Amino acid sequence: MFSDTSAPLTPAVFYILLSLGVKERHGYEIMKQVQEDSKGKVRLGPGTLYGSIKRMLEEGLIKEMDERPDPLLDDERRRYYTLTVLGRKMLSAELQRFDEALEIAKRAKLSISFFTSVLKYI
Amino acid sequence: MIKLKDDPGLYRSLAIYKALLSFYPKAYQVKYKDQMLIVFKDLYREQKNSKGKVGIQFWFEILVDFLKTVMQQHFKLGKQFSQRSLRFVFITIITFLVSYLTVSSVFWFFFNKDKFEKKTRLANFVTTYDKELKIHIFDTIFNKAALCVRIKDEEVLQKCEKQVGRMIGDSLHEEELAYNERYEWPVDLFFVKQQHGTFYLLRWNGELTNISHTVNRQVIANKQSYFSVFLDILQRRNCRHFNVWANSNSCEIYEIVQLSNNNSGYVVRLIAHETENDIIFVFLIPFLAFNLLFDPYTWRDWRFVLYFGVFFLFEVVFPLIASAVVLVFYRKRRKKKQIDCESSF
Repeated sequence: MFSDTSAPLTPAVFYILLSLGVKERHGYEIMKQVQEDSKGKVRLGPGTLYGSIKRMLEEGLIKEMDERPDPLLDDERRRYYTLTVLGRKMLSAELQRFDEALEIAKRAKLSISFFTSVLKYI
Repeated sequence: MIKLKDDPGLYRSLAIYKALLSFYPKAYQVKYKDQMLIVFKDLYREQKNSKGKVGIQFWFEILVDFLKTVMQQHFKLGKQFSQRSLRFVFITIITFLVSYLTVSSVFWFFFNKDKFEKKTRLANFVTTYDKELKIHIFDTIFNKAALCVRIKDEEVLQKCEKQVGRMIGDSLHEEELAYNERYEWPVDLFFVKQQHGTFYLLRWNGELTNISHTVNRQVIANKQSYFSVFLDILQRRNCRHFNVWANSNSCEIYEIVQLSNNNSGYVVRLIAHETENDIIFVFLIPFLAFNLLFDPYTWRDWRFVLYFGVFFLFEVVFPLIASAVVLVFYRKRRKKKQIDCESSF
């Protein structure tokens, strides 16, 4: 499903990839980062988060880290996730797409203001 | 680190969420149950620290997330179902439906068997006798005609309801006035006539019976029993039409014809025959269950509850057993085929 880099990603997958692009994180950290990055627009519940993680693991976009947290500091059952090469490729392809879309939008905005100024004279 | 036992609210919430997680597919649970519990714990603590308490909104969001994803995971698992599993499901459903419909049909036949029998109907009884004999029966032997009626007259219904309460009024609306044994009405009573203090009963098949011993005349005089109300209705002479219910879903509509000038005798004429949809027998279990749920009177009637039990046994338990037997038989046959196939190699 994700092997095609030209296909757009779902918001949840995109934001998870984005959060893991900076550093490896565990589930709750991912959840918080996604909420922060999307300015609260994308809120993942535990079910949605692990549903997406499961799918991304199966598709090879992310992988589980072997390291475990110190049991004195945190719950040792926590799993940390990081991006794979494919995941990084997918994320950059998606960012590239956003970049292009932004360019188009910028151009469109210019032309819209041009037409509105023309309309004023009619 | 704060221990779980220090926060009973968190302890309880975790137990609830743990129970919810058990609805996910087994393989999913093995991999992600612990992780999800940890995330839930973090969310709970965050909510409590920021807002001071865990409110309905938190649980609402958790539940929506749970419902959405639990279905997704099962659906994904369903996609991975092998052809064989699908065949098993298909066979189970078909067997259940076939046995359910078979049992329902048997019940339908049992309750409608009078349709398949030749009977001397009231209409035949009336029409096969000559006019003189009719006059003799209705005018000479009896001095008052009474009919078992399903009256659509609102005034009469209200009168009944006032006298015997809502239950009988309801049963009138339910078209079960004289037919239903549940309220111990004189069943299959079609004509009642009184002569010199003796009550006679003219039955469906034309048989004439003295029923004086079953009638408490004192109670009738006081107008306190169902029977008195019943007679009140019957004695309304301006009632021109009435329905006779052959069974719970088919009826014959009769018109009352006055024979003599002094209004002392009547004869009836069949003018229409109506049959309601018998499909209710196929869906008898949901129908009975609905009655038990929404009609408190049904619980008072042990016969109704017994009916429900019997129908549940035959229409639900039996098809389930049949499905299980067919499935076991099918699997055995399949295994045998597999062994034969392997041995032939």
